[in-house]
Amino acid sequence: MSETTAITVEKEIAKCSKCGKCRSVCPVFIETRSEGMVARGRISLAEALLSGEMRDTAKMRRYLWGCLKCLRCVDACPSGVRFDKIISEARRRVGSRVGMPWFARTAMRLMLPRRWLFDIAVKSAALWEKILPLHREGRIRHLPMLFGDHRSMPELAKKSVLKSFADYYGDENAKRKVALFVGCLGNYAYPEVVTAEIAVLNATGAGVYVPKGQVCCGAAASSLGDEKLLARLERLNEEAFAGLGIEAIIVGCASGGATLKGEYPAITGRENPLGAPVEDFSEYVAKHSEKIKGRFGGQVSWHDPCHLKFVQKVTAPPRELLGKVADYREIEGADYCCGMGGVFSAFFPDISAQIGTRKTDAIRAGGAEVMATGCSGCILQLRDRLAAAGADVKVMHVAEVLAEALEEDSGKDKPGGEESIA
Amino acid sequence: MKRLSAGAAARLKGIFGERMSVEEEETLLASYDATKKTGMPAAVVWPESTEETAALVKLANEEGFAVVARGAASGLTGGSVPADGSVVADFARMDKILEIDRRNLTALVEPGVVVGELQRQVEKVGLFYPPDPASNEFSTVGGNIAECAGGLRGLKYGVTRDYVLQLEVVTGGGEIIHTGSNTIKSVTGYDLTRLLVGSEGTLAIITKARLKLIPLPEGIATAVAYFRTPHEAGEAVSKMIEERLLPRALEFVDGVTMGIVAKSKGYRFPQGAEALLIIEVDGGKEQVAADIERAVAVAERQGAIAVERAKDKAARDRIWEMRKQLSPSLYAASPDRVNEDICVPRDRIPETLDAVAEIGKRYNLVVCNYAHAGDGNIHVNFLVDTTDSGIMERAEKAVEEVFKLTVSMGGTLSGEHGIGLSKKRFFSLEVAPVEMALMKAMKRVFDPNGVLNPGKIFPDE
Repeated sequence: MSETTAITVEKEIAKCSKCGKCRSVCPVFIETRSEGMVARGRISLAEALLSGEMRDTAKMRRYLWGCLKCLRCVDACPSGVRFDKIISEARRRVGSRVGMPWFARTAMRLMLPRRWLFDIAVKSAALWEKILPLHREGRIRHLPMLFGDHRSMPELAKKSVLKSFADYYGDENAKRKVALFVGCLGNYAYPEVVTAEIAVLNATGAGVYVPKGQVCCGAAASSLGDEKLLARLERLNEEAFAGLGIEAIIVGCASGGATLKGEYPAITGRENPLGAPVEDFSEYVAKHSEKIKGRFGGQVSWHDPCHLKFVQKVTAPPRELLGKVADYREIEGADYCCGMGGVFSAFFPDISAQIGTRKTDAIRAGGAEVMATGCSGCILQLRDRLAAAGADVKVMHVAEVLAEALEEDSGKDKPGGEESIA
Repeated sequence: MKRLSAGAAARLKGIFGERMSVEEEETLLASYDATKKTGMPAAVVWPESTEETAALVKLANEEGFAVVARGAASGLTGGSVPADGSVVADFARMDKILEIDRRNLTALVEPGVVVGELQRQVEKVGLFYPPDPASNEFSTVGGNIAECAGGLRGLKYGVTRDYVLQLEVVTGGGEIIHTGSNTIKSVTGYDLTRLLVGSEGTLAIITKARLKLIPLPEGIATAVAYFRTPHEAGEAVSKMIEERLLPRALEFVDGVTMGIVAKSKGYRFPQGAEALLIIEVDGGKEQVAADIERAVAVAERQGAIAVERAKDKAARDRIWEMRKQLSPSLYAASPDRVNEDICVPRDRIPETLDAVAEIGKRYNLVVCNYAHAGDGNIHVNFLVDTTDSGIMERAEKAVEEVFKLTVSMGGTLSGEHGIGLSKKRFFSLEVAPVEMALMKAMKRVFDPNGVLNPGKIFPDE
């Protein structure tokens, strides 16, 4: 740990007034009612750990790893404590001392920067089973992609996006060009989301690059306290996106966007380390939405991904876009966490499921028919929890809703388009 | 660090099983509250019933350890900071709203229920639980009763004590007793309920409470009035009350505090404003529209230089958000600030503010005040720059003078935070020896062996 990090983290710890407000917003605390499962308690533990007063124990790790990193507490904290900095540093300390992540970390270090190896690994759940991180609560039988157990996993795409998609979509002479960061779930599980993102971006008049050299954003590495790996992934992505002459890098996954927007500048000390500003998909499309039209059949509601609302502070654009093409219905609890949290759901599947159930209860109470959202992790979790509840609610990426509306619109111009139904 | 005897620990385990811990992580997590004062307990338990709580207190009497009840640990005077070597009873698992009785307008709740959650649930059926401390979204009913929490609506609606009808508690002797009556009127014997509210966990541990509810007011209207001096704002408060207006909130903020919140949170206030009043009225829809205009007219007659009316709920929420940012902003500006919670008869607010400013000048301290002005409750803050050696001593002397001033104004040391650890050395400024002796005698009746929350309220001997 460099001296500057030590000072910053120490300062952030000292800023906590122990008022307890984080207890009112933390989804993990709301399920557990345990002081060790909320920012104030974790800060107290981190303080004792970093000062050497307390040792790294199973209990300590349970509490330090039991954070979703939804960062609601940072958003709500009246004293402006950067809990994210504190938890990362504390995790790094426990991570570097004990067994937890060393195997997982080694595997991640090998795989995440190397797509071909990742490709193989993703298809062999058995390998992931061996790198089971930490002691977890509940059972985990399979860990494809680190997410586990009772969850209904998305089927893996026959061919990943980065293997099967072209390098560029759209008019060669497009005035505006952007590059798409597809994210791991987009790459392996949800190629249809990537297809929709490209279609919508093209419809706004933008040309879209899909740089093949891009790798994992590193959110998991950051969660696991592995700054070296995060830095390495940043460098690889920097190379992948270099020299394209683009006005923005578009991310359709809130967690990926949060990492690229927040962690990359922090780790490199540069404002736009990837060479262009990073924008969330809906943020960018809303700015160029003149040509977004058509109707999406039916009613749509929006789920705010934590990393979009509380980290990127993007809330209006997706609602605007959905309102433009569909019968938009705001539901109560739209910004309540889905409980996914990446590695959190692998360590604490039961708490993750409880949070998810609280979320899906709100979705059902609100009478949502289609839940649109903007994060691959949320899509996975919401589909799983809604299926578990037996609820007939469709979960879509906002890009898919927009793409369907656009298709319907273009269909109108097709000769015989309407008659073809009959 | 004091530990439990092996025998006591084994017997505790016998009662609570997995819900008992002596792990250092758990004791650390139960060692603090929002004062940042700490005391290291020997064990933590998580009761799930009144019977378990009674068994715990009986065991404490037999084994000679102390018991400290804990809600959200958001108190501001150290009320829930455990004595070294005590056993903390964390009521997180007793968090159910057992009943909302719409015919009798009451709610029966366990102590771990979060106040804001109770408010939301009763509001869903058109009812209202008015006590509203700034911590309502995280503090618990048990803690609110133990400290007699107040908040923003004291002027019109009173404080926690005015809404507690019945209590089920475990006394320091380990007995389960029931106080009060599920009726609005009751004069059957001594009012033990009132005695227990605000007793800071030193007489008994609350295990259930029946709370009074009222119908939810239909309309709310909110405005902010800005003044050139704190004195003028204070006069406006007295005038409003004199004109028989009864706003549900009348919040005062002085210019220094405004400057700090403006700087840290980016608020902008009118030029020349050195004090503001947030005025909020509630009642029937037409009534509130008329009342807010009357209140604004009074403010303007008293010299208000600008008035902003909240047009909708979002605007009202923004005003209250600013109000809730005051304490954290002062904390950020001066983490070691001294923050007091005095309460004076409301017509003496202007002269109290002037006298506090004088004390600040005398001790060369930055003073900033904000107040629930409608009920005379002033939060006096001395900002402390720790690089200035000797400042802590000066601040402590200034605080003592503030307390003496308060008592001389006919006021009280604590409006709503309690005495706890923070103010016990000033206790005898307000409470004479004969009353203190009576209180200590009551403590012995409820808690003969002194096992409940030792070291609080009364000055060290």
